[in-house]
Amino acid sequence: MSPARYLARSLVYHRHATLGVFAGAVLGATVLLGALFAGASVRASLARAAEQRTGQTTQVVTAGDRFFRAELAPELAATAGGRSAPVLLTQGSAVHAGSQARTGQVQILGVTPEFWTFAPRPAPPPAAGADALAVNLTLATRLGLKVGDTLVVRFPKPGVIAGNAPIAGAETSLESLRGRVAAVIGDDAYGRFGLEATQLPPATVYLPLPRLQEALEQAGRANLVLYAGPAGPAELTSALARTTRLADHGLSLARREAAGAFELISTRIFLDPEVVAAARRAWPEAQPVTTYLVNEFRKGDQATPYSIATATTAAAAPFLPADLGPRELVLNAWLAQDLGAGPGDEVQVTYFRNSAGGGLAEAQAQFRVRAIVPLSGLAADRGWMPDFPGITATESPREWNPSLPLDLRRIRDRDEKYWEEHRGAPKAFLSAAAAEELWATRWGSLTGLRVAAPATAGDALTARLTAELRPEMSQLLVRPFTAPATPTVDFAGLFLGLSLFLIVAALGLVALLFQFALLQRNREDALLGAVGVGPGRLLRWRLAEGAALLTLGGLLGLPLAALYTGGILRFLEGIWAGGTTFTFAAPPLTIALGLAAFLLLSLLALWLAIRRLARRALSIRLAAQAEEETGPPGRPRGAAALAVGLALVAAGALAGSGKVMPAQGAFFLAGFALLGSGLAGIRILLGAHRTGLLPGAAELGRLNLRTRPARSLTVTGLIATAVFMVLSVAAFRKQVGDNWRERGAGTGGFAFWVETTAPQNPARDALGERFELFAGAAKELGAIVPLRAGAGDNANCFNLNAVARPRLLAVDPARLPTPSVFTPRLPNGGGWEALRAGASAAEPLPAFVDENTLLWALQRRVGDVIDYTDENGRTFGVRIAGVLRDSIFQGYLIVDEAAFLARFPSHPGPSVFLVDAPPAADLPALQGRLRSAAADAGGRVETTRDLLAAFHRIENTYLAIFNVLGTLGVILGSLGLAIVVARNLRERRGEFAVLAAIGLPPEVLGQMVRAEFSWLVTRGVVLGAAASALATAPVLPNLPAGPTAALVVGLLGGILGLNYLSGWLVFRAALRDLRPGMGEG
Amino acid sequence: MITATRVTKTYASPAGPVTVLQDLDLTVDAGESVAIVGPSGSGKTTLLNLLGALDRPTSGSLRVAGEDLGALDAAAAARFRNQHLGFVFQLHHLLPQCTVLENVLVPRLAGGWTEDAAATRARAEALMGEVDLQDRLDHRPYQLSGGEQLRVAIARALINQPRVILADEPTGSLDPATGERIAELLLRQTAGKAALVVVTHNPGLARRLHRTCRLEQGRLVG
Repeated sequence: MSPARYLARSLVYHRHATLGVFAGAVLGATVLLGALFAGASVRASLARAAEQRTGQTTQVVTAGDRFFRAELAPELAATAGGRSAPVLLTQGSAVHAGSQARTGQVQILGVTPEFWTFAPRPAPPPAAGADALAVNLTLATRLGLKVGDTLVVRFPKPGVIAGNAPIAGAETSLESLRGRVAAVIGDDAYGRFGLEATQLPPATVYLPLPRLQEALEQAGRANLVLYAGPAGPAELTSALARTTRLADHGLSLARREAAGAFELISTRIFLDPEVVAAARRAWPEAQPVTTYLVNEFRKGDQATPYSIATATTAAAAPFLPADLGPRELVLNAWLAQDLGAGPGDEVQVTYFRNSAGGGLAEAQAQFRVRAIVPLSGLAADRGWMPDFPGITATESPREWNPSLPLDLRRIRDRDEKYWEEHRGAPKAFLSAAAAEELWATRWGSLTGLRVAAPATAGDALTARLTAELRPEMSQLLVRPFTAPATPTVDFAGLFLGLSLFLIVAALGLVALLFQFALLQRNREDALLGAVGVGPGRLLRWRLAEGAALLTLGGLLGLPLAALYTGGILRFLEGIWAGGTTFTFAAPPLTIALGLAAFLLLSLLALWLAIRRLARRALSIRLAAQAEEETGPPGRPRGAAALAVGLALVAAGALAGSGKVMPAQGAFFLAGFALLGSGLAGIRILLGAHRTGLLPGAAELGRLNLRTRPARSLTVTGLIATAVFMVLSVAAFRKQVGDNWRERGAGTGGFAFWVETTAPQNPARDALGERFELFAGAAKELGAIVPLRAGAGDNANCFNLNAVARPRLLAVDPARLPTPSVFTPRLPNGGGWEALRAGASAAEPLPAFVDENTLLWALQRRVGDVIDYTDENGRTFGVRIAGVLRDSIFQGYLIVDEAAFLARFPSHPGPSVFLVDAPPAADLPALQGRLRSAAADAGGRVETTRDLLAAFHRIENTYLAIFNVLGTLGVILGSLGLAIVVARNLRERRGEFAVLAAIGLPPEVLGQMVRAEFSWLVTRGVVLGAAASALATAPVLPNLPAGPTAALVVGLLGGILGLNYLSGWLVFRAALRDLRPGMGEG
Repeated sequence: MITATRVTKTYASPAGPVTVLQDLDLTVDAGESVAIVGPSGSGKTTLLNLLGALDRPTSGSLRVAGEDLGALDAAAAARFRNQHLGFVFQLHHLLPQCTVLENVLVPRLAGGWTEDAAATRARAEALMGEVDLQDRLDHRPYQLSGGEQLRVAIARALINQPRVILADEPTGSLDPATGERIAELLLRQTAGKAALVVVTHNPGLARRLHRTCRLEQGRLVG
């Protein structure tokens, strides 16, 4: 007989024990492999989604809110090598013309046929047609669109400057396009294209580039280039620098014949400070020009409305005094006559400027008239005025429509006549210093730079300037587009963590069953030892048997793990609704590692079980009548010390709560230590001697437990730990409290969170800071706090991709209702004013971040600095200064608005609003009205309570998974208990037979067993519940009493019921076996 | 063949140490058969376990077949048992999953046997003939009576041609007639081949051996 034959025979002969171990192995392997597969699947799905999002594009060139020549794309490809495609990208909303279903946050792409060659699997462009458009699957699904349906797309047409610059142009207006859906673009055909690193594909409309250019009045222009080719970011940036022209910066060189000069002007009216600096390097002799709209010149009772004034130097305007002071001005003869002013007179100048909140405000300044110039020559040149939108092209000042709160009734006939004869010829001239002081905006302070040069010098000037310009000065930035998506959370680790208790319980069960199987063969092993089978050889045989079972269990666990993973993935898809699909993935390496880990862990458990038995002398094992040696109970050494030590740890944790560690962590540690201390105490109780009279049946049952203390402790420990884990975790479920309208809550006490696709600036047709969006409900609303969403990706819990730079959200702290709103927590105390600490450009920008985002998405700490790039490509740091606990700002870094605008002066405006409402307001009705008002702006209006609850749902889902898996652990614990009791009963068949023979009825035997059972279960449950009550003490007061009590009672009732039921069934089965023979059999 | 010098064996218990054997001296020559008798709890089985290297003495020296048992580690002790000892247990300890013949061959599972497997098998079959079970080779232990099981255990003890055979109450659970047959079989199979040490309460069996040693309270008294 060979060892293999012997082992095979043994497995078959001991088939019940074999099957038990095998079943445990299957369960353990399923859970462990399932956790690993879930992680691998999420990772692979995210990687696939990322590939579909980026396609073949390796880098993109973005332009912020600006536009460049579409021709730049092919020119760039020609310079850098590779291929490229120009794209015009904007955001808007879409309405299904048939069903009127509407959605905001729609990405609108103007594309050329080249765009489709960048798809993961390039396909021919969708059918073209005058009104044809394509949509992606996300939009088609959301609106129920199919090919042939009509779609209306609404989007903002940008102004000259995307923002609220005074006089810089008409406000952004909404445009509509109507089209027939010609194709629905699948994921592999670039249906997931988007710049934001998220697994959620944006709803997208694809239009032919010329059509969108026309609608946006950006003929021949684009704002995005897709690139695929050999050039890396540095090479592509260099190629971009060599390729860009003035037009790509929105610049042009205009000839001013009257001045004998060229003037550098911008389509954005104001020259970017970076561009001005570059131009000054190129042309040191250049002179500044700032032309502005003056609302009123006034001398005493005489006033002249709405005039153009220019600030420059005597070098650019030789008719000006060389020493014109900052509070002096020069009037042209017309204005001097109109005001009746002469040299030395005081004149008040009224003009618009931006208020701190982004609205318009009128300001006044006093000037002394230095001189009067005739209205002729260079002083009468219309070229001083740039192309002010809504003004320049009009025939009469009464037709002006600059979207400014002008009172055009003040226009007099003589003003009209001036316009007719001289148009924008300035009526007054100021010094450059005065313009810098009064009219500077964050977009710039100059409307032109003049260089005196002959008409033939244009090309040379352009060449000198181009050499000094860098693409990033105009927000032309190269961004890598192939970063592999990594999950925010290591899902394999997460599910392993969530499943840990279940895995440990399964492995423990395997070890228990295996140990019982070994006990059953105790004398067999002893015999083999006696006839000379060495201990090492026997150990290897038993491990080989175990390994065979575990391997088979693992192999059967593979398909079961696949099914289990499938269930998990469908569950996850339900959470991240909106286009997140997970496909099953089980890479060979994961399978190999998972199986190896399972086998190693299981074999370790088996090895420990074998070692424990093998330590006994062969003589004792041969002589043992029972399958396990049972001796008199003894007081275990060290248990008392352990109980006291852990109790001290618990007390220490409580004492240090809030001092050396956060209260929640301290209490959890205290609870866990109490659990350990309690188990050590139970071990002491199990070892306690009892002497006295013959005990009753119940006491006899309890005494039985003491003969096998390790088993009893294992079972009680398993139940106690399961109860502790399930109850503790359940208590951490998050709910939006009834205090959500309080300022200290995570909602800040605000009623609504409003988010729009298009930035919303204060209305320009009225002074003040009135937002058109809220005009209809203004009387029912309280404070409105606008926030500017900036660079970075959303890092909230809906985005599964790891985000290195969360989106910045800028707020003016002064607009917040109280310094303690949202209860910011800073290491050294303080409130929102801390955001203003780092005002200088050299210091990192202080930021607040939601605690969950910091902990899970960023995995950083307070004090860490994250690097960002400003709109001109310069790196700046953002320092995490404090945290907001459980807030609606999940996914963002909150920074000071002023500091933000210093780094992003071109930022188009607020797109997030915190909106207050009186406590008695009818919030649902108000929400409905706000939604209607925000519909065109692609607005999303949610109560802050709902927003916070949506975040909680994700977090609670993790807890729910843990609870489900923990409950499975409880079930396994109960199964373990049933097995232990069954085993005890089996080992005591002889004892029962004797008791039955001397006349004890089954009821007495039942009392004995019940007593054993109750002792184990009640101590496990009570200890677990007590420890969990301590662990969750800090959060208990915040939990709703009714549901929490119901949850606890339900869980405890379920656990007790499950255990008693299994115990009763086991006892009934044992009793049936006992009746026929009344002997050990 | 067996030399025990001042052998003491003490067990720990919750009530304190319990000395089972104390300063025991014993010598058994090759080919000699010795009966160990004494009241229950006198240490007979303990002595047998020590002689069989199944347990280690607390103090004293124990040499069996030329080996100092105190110097053997667990693996060496197993090899020693496999090469030089044969055991006959009171409860037989047959493996229920194996056939009768396979049970006889169980010692070969220890490995390291230079003998050809077919030769061992032939010897096992011959031994089964000797114990009059040649027709039951493929039977399972549960198909045998107690006496037959004991005969299989004796055959198993002889399969490695041991120099010492240790038997613990071999006739304890048998009727007198079967016990007599078993005693006869044991003596016949070991005569002149191996030293035989038998723990027994059976005076008849003890009388048939060369020598009887009496154990009382852990000491040899005669």
